[in-house]
Amino acid sequence: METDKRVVLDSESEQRIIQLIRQGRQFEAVREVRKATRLGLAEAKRLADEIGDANPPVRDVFGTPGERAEAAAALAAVGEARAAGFVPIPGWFFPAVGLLVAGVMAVQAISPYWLGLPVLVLVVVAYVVVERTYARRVRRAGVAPRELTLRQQVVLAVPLALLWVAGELFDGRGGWVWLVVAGVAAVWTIGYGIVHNRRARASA
Amino acid sequence: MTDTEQGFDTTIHAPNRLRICALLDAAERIEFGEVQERLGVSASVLSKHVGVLMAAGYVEQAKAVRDTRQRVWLSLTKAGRAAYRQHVAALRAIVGTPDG
Repeated sequence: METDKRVVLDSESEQRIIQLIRQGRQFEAVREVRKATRLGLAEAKRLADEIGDANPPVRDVFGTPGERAEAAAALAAVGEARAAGFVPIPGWFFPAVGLLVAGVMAVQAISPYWLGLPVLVLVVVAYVVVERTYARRVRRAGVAPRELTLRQQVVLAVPLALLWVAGELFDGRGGWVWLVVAGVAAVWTIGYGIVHNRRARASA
Repeated sequence: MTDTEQGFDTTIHAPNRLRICALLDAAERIEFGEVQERLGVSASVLSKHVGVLMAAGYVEQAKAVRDTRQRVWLSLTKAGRAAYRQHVAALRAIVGTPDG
């Protein structure tokens, strides 16, 4: 099986790999093998050993100072590029969403319910404005910030859902319950946004 | 040999391609011109590397009109993001630093 894989290496590649191994550039030699054969890393190291008669074997010296320096340089380049590409979700976004969520909840406090319809319409209009402003900002900047992952969305939404349930449970005590629930929901959303952006900035 | 080193990806490892992936990983999507500016590479170099990453299924592009001009937005595919992260994990394993 190994012989078959070796056959796909042309003599030019083979010579280059031998030369790299003799120069002690094991990391690059393995890279050449993988480029030429599409083998997995472990098999590529074995094949590099076989071709270059490497002493000590490539698989034993993987992690030489040269390789580590190359990998460290690559990681440094990654860090710089990540920092250059990082754009936080705008600071106004989470407060705006918090107010929208609070608005929807506060509507429940209005009785009779049809009196709350204008507020609901206002919330919908505000949502459209927020969405369009966000999209315009992204278009202008040329960079769209990372969206929340599914897990992050769940973490944000579950307390809001629980607040809604609490509002329904204590609805009988008066409209003020929904106002409290709306306030807590707004604070939670804004707080979540602050923490999210802080963590995103720290990991960039 | 640790499992993480298996994630070493020669397609991604080329310096410019690694920087492109890192830049795209930090955002949801980035306009072609912005990538060019932020990485300080020419349009032709960027096109060449983006082409390789697209052929590997790691990057996708979407076209949209802005200010009456067509713009190209680049983003990592799900496979691209996974491959990039595995590659970075492999680099960390070689360097000997913990994942993070």
